[in-house]
Amino acid sequence: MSTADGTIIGTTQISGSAPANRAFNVVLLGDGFQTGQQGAFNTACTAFVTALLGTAPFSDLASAINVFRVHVSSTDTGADDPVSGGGTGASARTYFDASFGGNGIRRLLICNTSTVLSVAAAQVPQFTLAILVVNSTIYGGSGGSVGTFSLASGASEIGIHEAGHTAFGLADEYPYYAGGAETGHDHHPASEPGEPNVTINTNRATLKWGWAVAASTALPTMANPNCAAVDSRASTVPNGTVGTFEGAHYYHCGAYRPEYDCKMRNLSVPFCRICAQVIINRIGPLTTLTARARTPISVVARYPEHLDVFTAGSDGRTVTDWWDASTGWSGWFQISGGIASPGGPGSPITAVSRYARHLDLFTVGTDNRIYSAWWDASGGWSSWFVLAGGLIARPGSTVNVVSRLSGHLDVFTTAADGRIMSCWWDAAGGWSTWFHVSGGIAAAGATVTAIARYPFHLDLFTVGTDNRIWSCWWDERSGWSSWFRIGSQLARSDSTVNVVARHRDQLDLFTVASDQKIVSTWWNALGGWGSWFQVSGGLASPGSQVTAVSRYSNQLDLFTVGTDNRIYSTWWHDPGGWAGWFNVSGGIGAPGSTVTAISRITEHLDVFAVGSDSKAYSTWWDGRTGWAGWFQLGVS
Amino acid sequence: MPQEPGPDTNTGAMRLIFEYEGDAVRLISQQPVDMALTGAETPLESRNGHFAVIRDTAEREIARVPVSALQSTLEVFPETAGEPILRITPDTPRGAFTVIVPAATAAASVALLSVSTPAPEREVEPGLPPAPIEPTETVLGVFSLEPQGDSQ
Repeated sequence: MSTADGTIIGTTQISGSAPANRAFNVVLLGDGFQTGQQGAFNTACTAFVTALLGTAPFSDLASAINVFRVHVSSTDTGADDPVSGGGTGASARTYFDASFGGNGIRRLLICNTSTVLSVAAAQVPQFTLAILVVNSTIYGGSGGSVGTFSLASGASEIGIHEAGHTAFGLADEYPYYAGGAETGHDHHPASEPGEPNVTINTNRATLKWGWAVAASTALPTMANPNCAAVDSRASTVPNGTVGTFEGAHYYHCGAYRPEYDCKMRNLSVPFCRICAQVIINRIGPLTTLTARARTPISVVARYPEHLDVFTAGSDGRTVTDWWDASTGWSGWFQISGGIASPGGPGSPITAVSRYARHLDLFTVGTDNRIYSAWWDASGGWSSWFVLAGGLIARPGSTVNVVSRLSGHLDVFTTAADGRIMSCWWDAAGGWSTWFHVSGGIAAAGATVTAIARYPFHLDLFTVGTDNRIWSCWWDERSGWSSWFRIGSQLARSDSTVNVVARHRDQLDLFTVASDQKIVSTWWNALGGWGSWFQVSGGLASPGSQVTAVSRYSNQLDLFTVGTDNRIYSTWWHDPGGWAGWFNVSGGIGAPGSTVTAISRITEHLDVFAVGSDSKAYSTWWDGRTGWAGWFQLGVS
Repeated sequence: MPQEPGPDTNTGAMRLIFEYEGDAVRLISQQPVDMALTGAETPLESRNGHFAVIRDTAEREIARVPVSALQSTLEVFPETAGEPILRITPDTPRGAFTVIVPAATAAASVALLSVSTPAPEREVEPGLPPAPIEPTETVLGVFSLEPQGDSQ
């Protein structure tokens, strides 16, 4: 029995319309179907599609899922059913060598997986998941790189469970290896499983699905009272409760699953919240993100060949996409279930990288408290946690963060009553409490901006309640100064003061005046503060900010969304002074949106904006090639 | 927003198909494929599991992609709802699996690794990540890759 026992007839797409190179492509292949039996294969495939797309979260991701069926005619009908596996002894010459009775177990339906994968790759090169449908009413199936199932009632559930392993890297959540009567599976080894849906950890602060656990849920949520056996008690908490339930990953004790039940534990139940999120974060990146239009995109370069980009979706979900020179863009995925506050432009996700293997994130949550999460190479994403005692911020406030040292963070934001507040984190002492910075009050909608020109000094800027620009500083030797006004320039009350230090004795400030003019001033250690001036006649759209980047000490690049909503840039160079504003590659931004820019290497800029269609876009400038066109941010 | 097709940093992708029997693994197919690569590890990230690691000629790591279908056990499903799913261990595990990897021009080889890390000392206070613990990497096989012509 081999590929000589049949013929490939052809391939038909039966569900989905996503571009094949940007889709989760499922390929169903038939075995043991003769030429005249292809209708039965069609029926089985249709039933599988109905089952798959009727299963959450696939039901919500259907726009990114394609299903194909590969018709193969076999010489004989059915599959082998050897006596050694408790079968009838039937033998069938089929293309993929399907056989019941694997390892002496009749319902273990195996096949030639190499042939299945090779045929799937030839017929649908972009396939993600291959499943073999076997023409027999004997119940059977198996998992692995190729899921198999027969035409017996309910067997298509096997294919969906197996997709959990093969396509999404999910672990089995059942608490036994061989039904519960086995030996050697009382206690899970003391090593954290790599899969996202099982753990040995019940620490709420570090639990990998801690973001989904309610504060009122006990951890562990259910503990097995007798590790010599499977805990067969009914759930002690309401259905859908996420916590830690002991008994998972083939062990009675010492390993935990997120919910009482899940399709990775029992075939006939839905995926749990955590498995569903894993599936969403794997298929979701293939779809396009609709961003919250006025919330600025944040970007960090942990090292020159890598970018981490953060924003809020139109539903407020905190999402990220990353680019690496080796793999391109990863696609958008949600961060630990976070939701950023609306209000004004909506709270952005502020990101700081203290070192290459670590990120710290901050935002204002929907309860207007300040939240933080981190990503670390050794543990992945943490849960979101309330920062330093739960300050209530203005809805949609920005959290500004500076890392003066790799083991230190200074955090700034505006409280609900406009007070400018700060706290800090230090590796030696943890989080401080919030304190009011020198009595400062920000205008409604204004942000507070901070910069560290050197590790022992901070400069802060904001728009005060008189709509003028104010500053204060902190120095390790003298502590916090009083706030002082920088000239008499009137600013838009919701304007951000963008500041750049081209070197440690120079500050360049940019903001939007009350009449939408883009204005600037400077400070340097020799001459003190300069006068405010309009930058090359530039105007910003209502609500839009001006963004500044310094690629080197005698160069500044500015970006904004103009009053016609086009995305503009200008630059200053010494010698030469200010250039005129120009439209960047024809870009048009969402009204009131803000452009983000970063220079990860000297002769390169990466620019990010939300377009007029509320999609996230990027372009770049390179010293060798000039400006590229805009492209929609997603997966490469 | 006028658009161009995408960044010129798009590397393309390559499908690798491996066969295994017992401890022996062999690469039986490599095929360039136009598809988005999702699920690659965030660079510098380390966690337990099986991975395909793309390396250049100097054996520097270019990319790391999880492999979830390299199995030494088989899953047996119950005919009756509510009965347990079983795992069995065949005497000689055999099968095949596929993995999509970035098709970087510099890619010279792919290594299949099994990564395991001892239980970490986890933090108690938020804001401090767990102390890094060096994982143990077991090489299951290293395979040469055919040169890719027109990508990055």
